[in-house]
Amino acid sequence: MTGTRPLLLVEDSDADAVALERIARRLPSPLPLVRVRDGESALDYLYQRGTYASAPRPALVLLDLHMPGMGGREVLSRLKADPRLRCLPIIIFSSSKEPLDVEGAYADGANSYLFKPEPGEQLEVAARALQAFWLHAARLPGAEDSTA
Amino acid sequence: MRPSAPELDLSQCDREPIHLLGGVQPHGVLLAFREPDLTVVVVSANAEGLLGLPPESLRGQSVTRVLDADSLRRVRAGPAIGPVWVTAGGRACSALLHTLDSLTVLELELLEDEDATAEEDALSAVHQLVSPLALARGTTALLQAAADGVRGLIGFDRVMVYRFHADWHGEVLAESRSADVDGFLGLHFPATDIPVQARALYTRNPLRLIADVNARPVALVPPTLPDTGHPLDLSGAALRSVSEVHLEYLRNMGVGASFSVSLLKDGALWGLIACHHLSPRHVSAARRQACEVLARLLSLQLSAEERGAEAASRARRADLQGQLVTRLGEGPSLPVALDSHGELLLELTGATGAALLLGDVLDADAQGATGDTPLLFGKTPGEAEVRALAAWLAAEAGRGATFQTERLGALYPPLAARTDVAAGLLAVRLDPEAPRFALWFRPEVSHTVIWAGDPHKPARPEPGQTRLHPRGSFAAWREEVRGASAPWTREDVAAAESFRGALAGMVLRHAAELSRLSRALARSNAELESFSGTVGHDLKEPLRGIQQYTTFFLEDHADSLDPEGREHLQAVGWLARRTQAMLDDLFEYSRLGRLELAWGETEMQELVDEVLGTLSARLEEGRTEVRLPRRLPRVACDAVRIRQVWANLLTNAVKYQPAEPRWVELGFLGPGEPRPAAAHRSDAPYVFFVRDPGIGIPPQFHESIFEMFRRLHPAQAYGGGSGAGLAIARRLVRLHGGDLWVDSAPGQGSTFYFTLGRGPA
Repeated sequence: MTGTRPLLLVEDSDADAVALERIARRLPSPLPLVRVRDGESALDYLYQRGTYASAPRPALVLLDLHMPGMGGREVLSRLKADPRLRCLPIIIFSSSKEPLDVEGAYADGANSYLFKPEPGEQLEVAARALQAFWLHAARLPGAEDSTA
Repeated sequence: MRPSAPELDLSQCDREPIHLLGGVQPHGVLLAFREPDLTVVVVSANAEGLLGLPPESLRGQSVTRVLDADSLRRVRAGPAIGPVWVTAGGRACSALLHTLDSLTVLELELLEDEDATAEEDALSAVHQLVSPLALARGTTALLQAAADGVRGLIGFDRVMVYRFHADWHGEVLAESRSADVDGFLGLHFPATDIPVQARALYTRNPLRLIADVNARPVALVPPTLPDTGHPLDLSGAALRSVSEVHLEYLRNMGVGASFSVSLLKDGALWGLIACHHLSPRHVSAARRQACEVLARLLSLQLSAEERGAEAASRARRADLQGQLVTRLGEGPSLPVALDSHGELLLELTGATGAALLLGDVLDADAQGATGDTPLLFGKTPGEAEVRALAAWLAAEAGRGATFQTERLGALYPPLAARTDVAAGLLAVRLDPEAPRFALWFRPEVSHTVIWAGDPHKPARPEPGQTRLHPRGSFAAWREEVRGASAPWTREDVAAAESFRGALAGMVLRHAAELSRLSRALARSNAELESFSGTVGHDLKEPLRGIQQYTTFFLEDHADSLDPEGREHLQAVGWLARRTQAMLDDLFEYSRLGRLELAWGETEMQELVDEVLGTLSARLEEGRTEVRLPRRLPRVACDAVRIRQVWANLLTNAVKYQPAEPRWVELGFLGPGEPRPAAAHRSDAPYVFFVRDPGIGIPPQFHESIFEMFRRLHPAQAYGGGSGAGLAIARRLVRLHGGDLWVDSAPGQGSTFYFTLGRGPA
């Protein structure tokens, strides 16, 4: 079942992560979230390296663009260049409304781009929509799991 | 002075063969003999009075019949510079001689008692003349000393030093006279006073004595040379008789004797020492010779003085230019700096008016330098006339050329009637590609000099008085020079061209400065961009955090807080939101700097309808009526940006209406429609406006409301907002080449006007 596979949240901002986790917990069917704080950790997680050796494969990646160290764009490019990970849906989750950021992310293979909503209730709307589309409406790769 | 007679055609004067008149003045005897046999070929009819032998008994005889052996030896020694002392017919004479083909022409004058004493007299006369010259300082003093010296030596009533200008009109620069004759000092005389061939003789033969204007000329015997059948050429003869025209004029003037000495500079006629005596008066050959020596020395001295004066003038002009360049460099902008130093600009070329057409070469923002508006100094034609002249010059004068004329009206009829300011034009082109010029103007010359006589006020000659009479030649000449300015000298042109160089240098420096500034600006833009990137992300993150955590805290712990605590926490959240909004606006505003407009034909009405649509909730909530009296026109603009402008203005208009009834009026003033004074700020074809009956804005804030983050009210009043909306809106219309301004008064509501530019460049 899809629900058993978590969303990987790559987010350096504690406030944004906490807000999302808070919303995720409160949703009618809670969103399982795993959070890492930077790009390097995200790659370690996905390649199951170091402390993440036995980490489960996520259903989706929610990727912040502007992070210290390895940025979102670089993480995105690396994943989309790797045939084994290319099919993993990656949703950019950023407060940047710069057209350059949006277009650049899609050019690098992002599967969608969400603006981080303003603090407060809009975040819950976004989280519900995310869940409704990506985890219920959309068919994700690795489908044999989903039919179990 | 050789004024011509009034009743004669001037061109006839120019043609009269004055060197072939065939006679001599009676105060001497002319005798021409052939070498080597010494046969006398021609002799003047008055020979007997001096030589004791009638012409008939001299012709065909040896000249030894009148000259003793010693005198002959001295004569045959060859033409001397000065007179030779001889004994002729047994009497002491001075002899002038020159050769003409195979003839030696001998002119004999009886030595007068005062001259007869010794040859040293001539030397002492020269000394007497030259000594004061050595003491004189400056051209004027030098000429005055010469005039005094000559008068002292020859005892004439009036001695003038007369200088020719480039157009051959003359000016009296120095004068020495007895108390009972009129003064001519400072007067100008037309060029026709001294005809062309007379000037040629003055150049060849620097001395000219007319000892008695009433004396009858003496014929030569025979009148024509047997070999050639032509009269003897008398151009080299001092005794040459005088044109009857000239004699008559001298008589009319009351002049009894006239004497002139040419002043030559570098072989060209520079001027004359012109002498008048009321009664007949002879000047001995020796004294005439002394005057010639003086004239030669004077000429040399004048050359030196003039070279000195030229050097001084060059130095003065260089200094003027230096001052101009320095001052102009100091000024806030070139036009402003020029404005206070226009005098220097005029002095540079000796002009009475100047115009600079700099186009937008310079700071286009500086008042007065924009577009085609010329900068005018002194007396010039009007702005429009100067602009038209520049356009004509650009077509006529060619690229990079210097253009000069003393008769602009003849070449450019539109200014033919403006000889009061622009008879003469000196123009240098500043830009080969555009009609940018430095122009200097001079008025008609008759505006600037005092002419000898006023043709409109004929004066009657009074008995016993010498004065200039009204002359037909003067009137004719005045006609001829009407519309002409004083000529531009080489120095004037050089100064103008060198000013062009300096100006070009200045413009280049200005351009270099602009490019330096623009590099600095690009650098600071890049820095600003990275700064705004930092602001956009790194500062917003913590702000988001503050908002999130205050929200969480309020959600989770509101019940355990007292009302004041809740209020404080809400305030923290509000401040964070507000700060973030300001950051967003700042980011937006800074992005406008690199915005490329997407011009397109836009139905303004549709644009406004869209804006009203998005604002409808707000308008309904505030119960605000929208008034749109007529359909808005179709214009060229960047629709997205202008939509933002309308949205900003509408939001503002709704915001600042505390009480009902609330309304907003949207409209425009079209081409040719009457505009209220407040809308006159721009002459764009359309002026759009947004009007409200709200609280209004005091006049002192009409500009400052357009400054970034400038607010007139507490942040919480009138619905908040960061205070960036108007700054952004103005920047958007200015990007279009238009402007945005407000007309308002407290309690009277506000009208915001905006225009769009002329469309994409």
